Amino acid sequence: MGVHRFEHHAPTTLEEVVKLLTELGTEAKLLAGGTDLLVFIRHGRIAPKHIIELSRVGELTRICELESGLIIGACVKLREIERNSVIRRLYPHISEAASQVGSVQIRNLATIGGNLCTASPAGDMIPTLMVSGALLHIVGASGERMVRIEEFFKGPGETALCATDVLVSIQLPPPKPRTGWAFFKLGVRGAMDISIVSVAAKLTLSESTSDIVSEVKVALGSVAPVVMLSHSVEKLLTGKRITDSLIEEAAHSVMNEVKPISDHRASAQYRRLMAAVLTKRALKTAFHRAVGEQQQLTQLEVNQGSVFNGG
Amino acid sequence: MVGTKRVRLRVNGDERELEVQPYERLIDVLRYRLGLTGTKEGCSTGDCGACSVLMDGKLVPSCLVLALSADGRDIVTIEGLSSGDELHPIQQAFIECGAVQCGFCTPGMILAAKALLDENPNPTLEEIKQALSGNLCRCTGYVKIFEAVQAAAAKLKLSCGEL
Repeated sequence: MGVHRFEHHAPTTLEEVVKLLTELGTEAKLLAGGTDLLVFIRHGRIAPKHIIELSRVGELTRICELESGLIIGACVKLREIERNSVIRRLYPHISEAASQVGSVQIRNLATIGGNLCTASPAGDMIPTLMVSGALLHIVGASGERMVRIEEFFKGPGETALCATDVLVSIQLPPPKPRTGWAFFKLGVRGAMDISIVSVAAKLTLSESTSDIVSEVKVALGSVAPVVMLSHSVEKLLTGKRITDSLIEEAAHSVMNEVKPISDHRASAQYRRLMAAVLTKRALKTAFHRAVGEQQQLTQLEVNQGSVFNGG
Repeated sequence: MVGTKRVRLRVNGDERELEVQPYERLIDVLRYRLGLTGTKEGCSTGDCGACSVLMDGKLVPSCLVLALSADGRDIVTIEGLSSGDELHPIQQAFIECGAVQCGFCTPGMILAAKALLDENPNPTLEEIKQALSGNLCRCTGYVKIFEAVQAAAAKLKLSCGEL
């Protein structure tokens, strides 16, 4: 297999990036971390004539905490997402998801925006950002716009980005009080795993001391052509008092919503069953975190097989 | 037309300036232009960790970094760890613990261990396993490798104490 040849561009401003995209059109691809792009080129899946590297555009690599929420530059490395103290405090599920991508080596290169723009149904950052109500800031030749993350994915590998568009940042609204989060990923090995199923949950309890759910979101990965939000969980739990049997019922309901396929990683039926198991665990963990209890399942327990033991 | 571009790297402490093709990878430059063949190419897709090097102190797979992306960066390969004839304590520990068999994964393993110990001089066994989980070994079964990292951590602590 011959080496695919391309030209390399390293702009330092967003304006230059958009200008290059406008000039070069579909012959150009954006390079963020390269952990997908360079592999796709190597495997012959794509053959761009031009690579536009984004790492030298300063505003893509910053994390800013504002009153209106947190802004994460699209080219922030997953290793930084994993370790950033603000993200760990406000959105622990996002750090937890980042810490489970690939390996240390991969996380030192891979970026949060790259994970979104590859638009894999198994993209590990997507469920966590979806339950967080992320807004995506996009800049292109026709100006800038904000897109809700649930409207960004159009199919496996397909996004709402036009040919001249760049994903600039991910904006997260500040978490409401009494909110708990969780993320669980089921894989085979722990490292370098593509999720068999992944689930993120957000649960906000009403301001009073009761266990009434004021807001709930569950997002599931690897069980449909794009990462999906569960409407049935929202319907079943919103405004209700949390009980074990209600969580059980909500978790069960996702089995009718997901549309998994069978592939070499798992059968559709296994994915459907595990979607319910992980949803239950994610909701329980999010609830415990919302009421401030420490008791929670760790990813280790999931990988070591306790996922098969009910609970 | 694709033309060469100039890249400046600091490799194992030496400033290097080279003309590279835009599609050349960091591993190509290290192995074929600088002759640093300690860095091994295994899978070429970032899965095996054999090509791991330190870039600005961070562990990266050099098969997934374009040479031009490394412009201005500080690179450390396995050749840069020893000082003269004296092996680095992690290298020494790998020998003493029998953590090397065919040796192909060893440079990447040692650099992954260095990246870990630079950040966390007292890792637990679980932390060592996590830190090395991006590096595959097809010979040893990992036990001796983990023991070597633990021994290296103890050696490094001792040598710090002496200063």
